[in-house]
Amino acid sequence: MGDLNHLEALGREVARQQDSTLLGPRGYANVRASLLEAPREKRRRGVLALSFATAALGAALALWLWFGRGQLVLRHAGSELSGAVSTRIEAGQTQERLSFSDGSELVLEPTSRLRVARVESQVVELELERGRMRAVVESAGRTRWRITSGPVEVVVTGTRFDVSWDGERRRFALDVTEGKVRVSARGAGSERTVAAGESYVIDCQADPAACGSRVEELAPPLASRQNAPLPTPTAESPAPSASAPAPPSWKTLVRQGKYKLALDAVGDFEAACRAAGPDELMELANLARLAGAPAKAMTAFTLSRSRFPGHPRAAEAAFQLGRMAFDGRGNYGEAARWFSTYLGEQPGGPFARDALGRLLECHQRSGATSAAQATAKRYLAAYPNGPHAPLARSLAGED
Amino acid sequence: MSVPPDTPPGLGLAGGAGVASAPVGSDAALLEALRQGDTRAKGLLFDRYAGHVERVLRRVLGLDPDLADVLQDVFVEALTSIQDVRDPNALRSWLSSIAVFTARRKIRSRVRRRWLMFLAPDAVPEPPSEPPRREDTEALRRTYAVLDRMPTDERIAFALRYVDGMELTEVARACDVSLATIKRRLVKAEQRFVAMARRDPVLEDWVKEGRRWAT
Repeated sequence: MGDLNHLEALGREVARQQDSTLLGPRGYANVRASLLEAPREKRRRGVLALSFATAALGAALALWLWFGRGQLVLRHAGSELSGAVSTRIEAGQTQERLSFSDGSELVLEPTSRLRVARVESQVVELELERGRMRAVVESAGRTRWRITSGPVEVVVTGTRFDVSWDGERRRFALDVTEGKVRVSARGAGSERTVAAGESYVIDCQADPAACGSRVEELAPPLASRQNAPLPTPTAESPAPSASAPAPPSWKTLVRQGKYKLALDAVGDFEAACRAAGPDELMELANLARLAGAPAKAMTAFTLSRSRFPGHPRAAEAAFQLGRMAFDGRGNYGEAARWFSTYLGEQPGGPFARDALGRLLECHQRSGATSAAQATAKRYLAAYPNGPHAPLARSLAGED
Repeated sequence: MSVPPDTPPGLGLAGGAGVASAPVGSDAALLEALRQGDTRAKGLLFDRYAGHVERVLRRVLGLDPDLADVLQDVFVEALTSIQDVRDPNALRSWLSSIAVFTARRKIRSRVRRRWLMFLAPDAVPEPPSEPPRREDTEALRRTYAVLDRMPTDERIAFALRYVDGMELTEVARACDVSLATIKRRLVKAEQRFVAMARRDPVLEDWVKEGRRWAT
C-alpha cells in the first residue's frame, strides 16, 4: 500500500510538471481551424458504403501496382531514385534529409557522405563513407536494409539497436535490444546473427587486418537461441588472443546487473579510478556502491571531487557521499555538509530537490530545529509537491 | 420566444427543434447537432473537449512533438464516428477512449521505427549534447523514460491511473476492457514500474517506502 501512495504522489507531481507543457487553446488553434475547414456533409449509409468500396478498390489497385512493380523510391533534392542507383549524396554545412516512399528517412549530418548503391522494395544498400547518419527504418519485413560503415556491415531485418564506432580506439560496438541483426566484419569470413540482449564488439586494434570480432551476451541466452560459434579467423589474420571466448567487460557485466562480477572484472579499482574520465569514474563509483563495496565507492567519489573540481560529476559525487553518510552510517552532520555542498555547486542540478529534502531530514534527525524549520520553508517554496513536502509541512508548522 | 435564425436545432432555447428539453450547451444537444452535421457544433465539441483530450494524450504519450497532429487525429476520428455515440452522457469518456487508442497506435508506431546511428571510421564519436536539464522536470522525464520501457497496455493503464488520476472504472472504459482486466493490468504495471523506478536515482526517493517519511 505504501508503494501505491507513493505512486500517486509521484503521479501528481508528474501531472503538475506536465500541465505546464500543455498546448492550450492558443497552441492548437491551427488544429481547430483545420477541423472546421472542410465541412463534412452528412452522408447516407448507402453512399458511404459505396465510397468505402471504391476507395478500398482503388487502394488495392494502387498497392498491387506499387508492389507489383517492386517500387521503393528514394526522394532527394527533387529527384526520385530507384533500382541500382550508385549515387553519392554529400551534406554541406547543414543536414541533408532523404526520404523513402515507405516512410523511412535518413538524415545526414553536415559534411557527411553517403553512397546509395541500391533502392528496391526487397533491398536497400547504403554505405556511409564519411560522417554520421541517422536512419528511421520502417519495419516491413519485406525490405532488407544493408548498411556498411567502416569494417562493419549491418543487415537490418526489423530491429532496435544502438551502434557506435570509436575511431580513436578503433572499436565498434553494437547492442541489440529488440529483434535481431546480422553482422559481419570484413575478413571475419562469416556472418553472425546478433539477437536481442546480445552485443557485438569488434576490436580493430587487436586485429587490424580482419577486425576480429567477439560476441558478448548481455543476458543468458534463451533455450531457443543457438549458441553459434565465433567466426573462424582467416589465414591472413591472427587468431584472437584466447581460444575461449573473451570474458565480458565490467561495463557489460554492469548492464547485466552482475555488479559483484563487474567489480572483480575492473581489477585494480583505484588505478582504474585514477585513469578514468569524470563520467567513467562516476560509473565505477556507482558500481562499487551497487556491489556493496562502500569503501571503494567512497574512494571513487572522493577522487572525483579531487580530480575534477567544479565538474557536475564532482558535485554529484558530493550528493552521493551525503547519501552514503546518511543511509550507510547515520552520520547526519557529515551528510548535511555534503548535501549543502551539492546545493552550493549545483543549485539547479538534477539532484537538487533530493539534496534539499535529505538536508531537511538531516536537520530533523539531528534535532537542529531552527535549521530544520528554515530548510522546510525553503523546500516548500521550491518543491511544494515534492516527496519531502509532507515532512516539510509538518516541520514548518503548516499541517 | 423565438429561436435566432442561425441557431442550430437543439442548441437553441427550450422549445426549439431537436432536443426540445435539453438545456443550452448540454452534451445531449451538442451530440444531436453533430449528428445533424452542424459545423459550429464541431467547433463547440473541440472547444469543450480539446483540453481534456490533450491531457489524456499527454499522460499516455509523454512529451511528443507530434501532439497537435495526434490531437487532430482524435477529433477527426470522433467526428467520423459520432453516429456511434448512443449515450450523450458518455461523450467525454468516449472521447477518452478514442484518445487512448490513437495514442496507443502512436506508441506502437514509435516502437516500430528503427533508429540507426552510424559513424564513419574517421569520426570520433562525441557525447550527445543534451539540453540543460531542469531539476523541476526530472521526475517527469524519468517517469516517462521508465514508461517507455514498459509494455504499451501496462504503460497506458499506469499513466491514466497514476498520472491522470482516473478512477479504475474510468481507466477500464478508456481502455475498453473490463474492470477485472484493468485491475490485473495495473498490478503488473505497478510492480514493473516500481522495480524500475527503484534503480533510478531520482525516482527511487518517490517509490521508497518506510522510514524516510517517518517523523
